[in-house]
Amino acid sequence: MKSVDIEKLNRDNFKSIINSLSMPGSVNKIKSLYDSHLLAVANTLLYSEVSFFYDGNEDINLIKAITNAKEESVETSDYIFCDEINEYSLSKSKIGTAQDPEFSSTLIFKCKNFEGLNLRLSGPGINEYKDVSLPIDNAFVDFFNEKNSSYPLGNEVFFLNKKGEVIALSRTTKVEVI
Amino acid sequence: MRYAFLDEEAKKEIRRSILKAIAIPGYIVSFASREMPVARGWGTGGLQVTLSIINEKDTLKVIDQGCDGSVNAVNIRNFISSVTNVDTTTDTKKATLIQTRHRIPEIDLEEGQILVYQVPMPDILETVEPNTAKAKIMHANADYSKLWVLLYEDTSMYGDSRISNRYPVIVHDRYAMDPSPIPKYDTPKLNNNKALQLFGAGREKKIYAVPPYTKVEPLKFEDRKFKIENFEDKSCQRCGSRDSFLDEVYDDNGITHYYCNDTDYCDSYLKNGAKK
Repeated sequence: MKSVDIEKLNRDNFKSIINSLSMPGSVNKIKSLYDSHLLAVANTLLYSEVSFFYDGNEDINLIKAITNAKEESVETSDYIFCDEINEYSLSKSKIGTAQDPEFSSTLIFKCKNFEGLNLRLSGPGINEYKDVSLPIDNAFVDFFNEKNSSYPLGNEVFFLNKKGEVIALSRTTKVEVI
Repeated sequence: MRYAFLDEEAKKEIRRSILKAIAIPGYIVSFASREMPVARGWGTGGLQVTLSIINEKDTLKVIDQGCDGSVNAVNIRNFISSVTNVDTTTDTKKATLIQTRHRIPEIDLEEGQILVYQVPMPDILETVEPNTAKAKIMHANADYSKLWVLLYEDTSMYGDSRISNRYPVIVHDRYAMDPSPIPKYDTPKLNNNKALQLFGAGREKKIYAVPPYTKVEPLKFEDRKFKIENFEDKSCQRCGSRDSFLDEVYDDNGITHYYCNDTDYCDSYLKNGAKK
């Protein structure tokens, strides 16, 4: 039977996640766990002191058992995973408080690929600006910008495609449609 | 032995704090600092950050006050190497992960490199507001008036700020941040740096970060220029460099000698005459 070194997988995937978030718009690769990239990201981020919400069809029970993370509602979860890009989840997610802006949700959306709306990103982590394509619509962009308009309150959003590539938008990222 | 010493749960906790710190540049995130096999105050914060992000592909460099060969740097490098088996280097260009105490390397860093600082005192407001709960509210309100008053008092009495190291900086036009006790000479290097900069304070249980290409400006009145250490006509007695931060060393006869503070930069300058 093929064994998996989960901790090695976690540290490799965390490097991809940290690179994605520190340089929004850059494409990084996630290695799959149990043939799923979403479960691999969940296993990297979740542990006993955080909560999560999952809206999708993958079997996340094993990750829940391994990591001992609490399953909570979309309004209170630290991490929100969705099988498709979901404005409702973004609208309901917590954005932290003025004193504790880190008590906010991080969203991880699965998508088929990154083809879609052409966007220009700017802000910390980006050298002047970066043009990317993401499978979102104008309403999502408006929503994302509005949700992060009261910086430092806001959310980080990751997009994970079928090839296991990941792109992140940070709460400091300004997103313009081009 | 577990890879990188820390257990997986501890790493996940530190990684979560690192991600939040990156998302909110300059903001101080609390984390559950672990006991390390070195004493608190000797770099346990930087060590925990490094151990949480390191993987097999990394090449590690550790410097203490610009020196790869000092006791603190050698011990930390040996410890990390013994629990991870990663390659180590003294060459700034070859390193993917650099743990530092109180200096930013002399040459420009690149995208993909990570600079981890050991931080003794993470909150810049500590000098003007010892009550940490009040300081947190001040950060929440972006109320840095007490820092400005401190700067005003110094400027009115002495013509300039008396702060020689850990000069207050404003990150992304929002948070006042302690840049760890780097000299003023290094402060401009924080701005728009291509490398990710992570700051870990083990004793104080705090992590904060500056992502690449982030605006970091020293706290300064508009009509006052930010001045760095000036070595005028001095040059390194070993390599001849005139554009590096120099150490003053006194010999037995009381004569002052000047040497590059960054030992790797001095070595490469001596070898290649290379500049930035």
